[in-house]
Amino acid sequence: MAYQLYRNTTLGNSLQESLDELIQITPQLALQVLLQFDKAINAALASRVRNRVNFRGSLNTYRFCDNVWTFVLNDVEFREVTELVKVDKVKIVACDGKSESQQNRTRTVLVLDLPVTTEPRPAVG
Amino acid sequence: SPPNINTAKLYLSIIDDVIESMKELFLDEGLEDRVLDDLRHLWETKVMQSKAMEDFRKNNINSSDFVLQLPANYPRLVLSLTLTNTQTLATFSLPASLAYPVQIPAGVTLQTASGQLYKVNVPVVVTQAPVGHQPVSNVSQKVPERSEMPAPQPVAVAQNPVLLQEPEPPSAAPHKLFTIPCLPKLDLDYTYSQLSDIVQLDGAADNSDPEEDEDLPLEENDFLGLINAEDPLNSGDDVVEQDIPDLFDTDNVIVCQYDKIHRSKNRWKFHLKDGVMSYGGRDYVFSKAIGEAEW
Repeated sequence: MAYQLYRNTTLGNSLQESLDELIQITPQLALQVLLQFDKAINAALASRVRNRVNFRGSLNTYRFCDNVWTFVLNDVEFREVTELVKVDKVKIVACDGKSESQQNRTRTVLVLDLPVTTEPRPAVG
Repeated sequence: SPPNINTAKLYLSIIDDVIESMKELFLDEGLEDRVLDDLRHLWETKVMQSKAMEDFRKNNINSSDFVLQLPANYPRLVLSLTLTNTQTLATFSLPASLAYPVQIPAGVTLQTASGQLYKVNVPVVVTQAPVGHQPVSNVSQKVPERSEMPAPQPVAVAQNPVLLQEPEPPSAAPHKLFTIPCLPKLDLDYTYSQLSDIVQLDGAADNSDPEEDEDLPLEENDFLGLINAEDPLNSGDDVVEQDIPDLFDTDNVIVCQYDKIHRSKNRWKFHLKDGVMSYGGRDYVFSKAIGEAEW
């Protein structure tokens, strides 16, 4: 099952807008297109993108819920080879990158729902 | 810049994948081919005209390695704007009174009066040889008449000899890699007959000499239309609010997956993958991102 999290990107949002604008496309059909989009972008990112980025900043908040990490970082530097991008504030939404079969085998025991101001809990690997 | 080129190429490949895989389903739903074509067209246009692709568009237009030289007194060059190999959006006729050279953005198909097509992947400059001047080839230099005499063909003069295909350049200047629509704001439902009713708009034909027109088989309402050689892309393109990125309001977001999140005291380490980042409206993608932060 491909993650739907990429729908809120330039590519995903423009697709949803386009689907809305075409009246011949029913909501059910639009959903099928979006599901196909999920598959396509997940696959493309996994296979057609090959670059590595490093970043460093300060962690403002963190949250782990339903296997999704959400971070807010400040004063972040993203570095790719020679290129440097500085960002005042960035939000990271990350789903579990392990494949489904792996997830079932290594079932997470702790379900952490951290209020953002709590003292940090043990590392989740 | 390189990341933006790869992002554009990646996005177009994803659009391709999705559209191709929906063909059968759309057919089953009883929809005409046109609907899926419209979806592709709308989607591609929105993406390529979005702020995310702004850097790419700017890099694409700055220089041109290709020169298309028209023979002197060439009657008419027709431009058709295409999104993909199969989709023609609109056709315009360059008036013969046009003041050359004209800079054409990438993604345009040039069609001669005899129907010869030049699909242009890159920005091209269209020039016209002076009267009596031999073009750089052995094409016969006859001034076309209204009779059946075939018109002399435009000559493509290029540093890179390949004009019609997608080249594989060793040292890639970014703008050579794609067939990308770089569209000025258009009403895309125009047909040529409708266009010919429109009064000539801003274009490079400001210096036309009326006396020269009489010798040439012009249609009454030849016009340059919306292709403005001086500012082919940016005029009216962006909604005003998007012109100035407001970084306080901009939600810089990365959507991705995590391989591993590690914490030791207040030092966090992030191992992320397959991410799409939007920063200041611009898009970046990564395969892996490794980061550190102190809480």
